[in-house]
Amino acid sequence: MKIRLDHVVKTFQTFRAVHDVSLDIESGELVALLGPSGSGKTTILRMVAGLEFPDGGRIFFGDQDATEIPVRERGVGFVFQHYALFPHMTVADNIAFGMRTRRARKRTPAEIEARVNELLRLVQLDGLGDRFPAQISGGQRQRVALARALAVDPRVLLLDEPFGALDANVRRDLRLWLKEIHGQLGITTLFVTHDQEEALDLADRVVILNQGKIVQQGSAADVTRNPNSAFVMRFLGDTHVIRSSVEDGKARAGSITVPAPGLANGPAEIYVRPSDIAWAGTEAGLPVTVTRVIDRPGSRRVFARMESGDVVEFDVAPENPLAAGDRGAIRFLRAQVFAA
Amino acid sequence: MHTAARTNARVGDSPLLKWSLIGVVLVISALIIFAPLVVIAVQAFSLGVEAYAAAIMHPDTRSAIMMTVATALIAVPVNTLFGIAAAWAITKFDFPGRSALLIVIEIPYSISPIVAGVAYLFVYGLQGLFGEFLQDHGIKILFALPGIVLASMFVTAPFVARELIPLMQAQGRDLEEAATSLGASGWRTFFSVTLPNIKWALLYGVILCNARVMGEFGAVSVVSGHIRGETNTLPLHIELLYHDYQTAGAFAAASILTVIAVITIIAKVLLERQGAGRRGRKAATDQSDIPTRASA
Repeated sequence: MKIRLDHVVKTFQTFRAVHDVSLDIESGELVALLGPSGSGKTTILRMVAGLEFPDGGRIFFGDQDATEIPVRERGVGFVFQHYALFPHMTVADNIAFGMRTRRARKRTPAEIEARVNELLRLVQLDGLGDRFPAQISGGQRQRVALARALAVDPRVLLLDEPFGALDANVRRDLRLWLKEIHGQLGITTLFVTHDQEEALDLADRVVILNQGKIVQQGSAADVTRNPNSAFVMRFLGDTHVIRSSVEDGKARAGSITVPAPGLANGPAEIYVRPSDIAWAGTEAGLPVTVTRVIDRPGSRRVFARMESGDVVEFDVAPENPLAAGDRGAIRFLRAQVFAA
Repeated sequence: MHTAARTNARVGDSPLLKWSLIGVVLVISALIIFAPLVVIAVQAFSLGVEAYAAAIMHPDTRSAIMMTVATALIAVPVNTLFGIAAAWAITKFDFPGRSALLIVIEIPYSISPIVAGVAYLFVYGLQGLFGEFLQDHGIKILFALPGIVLASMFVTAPFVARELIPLMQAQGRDLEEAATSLGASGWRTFFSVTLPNIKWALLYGVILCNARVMGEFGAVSVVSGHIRGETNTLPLHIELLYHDYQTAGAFAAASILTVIAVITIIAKVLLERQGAGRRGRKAATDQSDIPTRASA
């Protein structure tokens, strides 16, 4: 099911949560809404679900205008951040809940039981159907919530911070597993996260939001290699900001020049990630003084002070004998320039 | 060694303080709570079991019991429905005046019941706002069951709502939203998702509400008219018997209310073990596992 958001606006009292958002999600696509808290990503998800209604704009499911269709009729599977499993029902009853409503396609009790077992197998929870939500782990609850959402054969799967409440190892496993399930079922899926790693790992397309607006969207490669704004650059990972100025389409830092096509002459900032900084030793580059070195399993993290007084961090190979007090230069393997 | 132990003792841990405090509390409890209950039992049977039975079987006493039961049978269900509706409205919807409603619901807690009774007198009494209208149409509210029920309902209006609101607030809207997104209707969502998760708190509120309705004196006293054998409820009847120097009869009637109170307390303790009431609330909300939603 293809989903289209057309100039959607949502205001809570005086707070503009979503500001003229237009977005196309292709059938079968796995899309992440990524942004800091307050960026409107959850509100967008809830509007697609029908749990909130936009103040302006339309939402289409395929060719159908779904804007006013209430959540009960909309045919979406929604997975809540804190699972929202019914605590007084067994895992199997939770999964069967949607199939027993009057809205659902008529099924005999035997068919429902068969479908529950099929879903339990899909989410790898065979044999846990008799447990209550309080008797299973967080990761298992999340999988039950997914099975429950899938049980009603939704047109679209919506997940609100699906792994937000889980610890790091479980998150990683579930992420791979969700990708697998999505591959098997091919259901159009939209999920919300504030964790850039999660979005980049999982999604076919990442939609980055800030203050209720889409700032950039594209594949993980697009948004990481060609961030279109300082916000995206900062939001996607650790970034150093080096004050500079643009002259004739080039930004200068020490003897380093970074191409800045399309930028007018004037003050600018060079954004560079720690992993994109290399130690140049006595060769030409941006002169620095090493202030501290930390040994890590696969590398050594160097803290170095630039002439401006700001400190940059970067990694060198474990064999590199750099020590505090050493002077030398750094160079940039990759960098972005944005107007200051 | 002993001195070391003593200096390590926590503040207020000395045996002297501990036992004198416990002693004082025990003596006071015995004097002001337990002793009167014993007196009721002793006095009720002071003229023998037969006299006790006769006192309870007396037509006026039976009428008072029926009046109290009838009042409870109307006031408690109505207030239960009101409490659920109010708690639902306050916790699941945003609307202007929401916090004002929260305060209004609590008014009966802080107001003297007799004020409520007098207020009803002004509204429905002969000289009151609707007095003439009601009399012209032959509708009797004051000095009859409807007035007693209304006064009782006023006094106990907050009981159910007050138990449900904190619990439903802690549970949030996620469960209902989940049920609706799975295609459940409003009724189905309420009966198969909301109600099972609030049932103990609801029952707890109902029991407290019932105990208060049956025991209410002040508000009912103003609106009932004290018509012996007709509009007297049990508490009013007890006072009447006492003023008539029928001590044994008064205590016999009082023993009925006492038994109801004891049953209420036992039910309350049992329900608290199920996670209802303020004491058990933490456990009840923990298992539902729903922290407040981050407003992203």
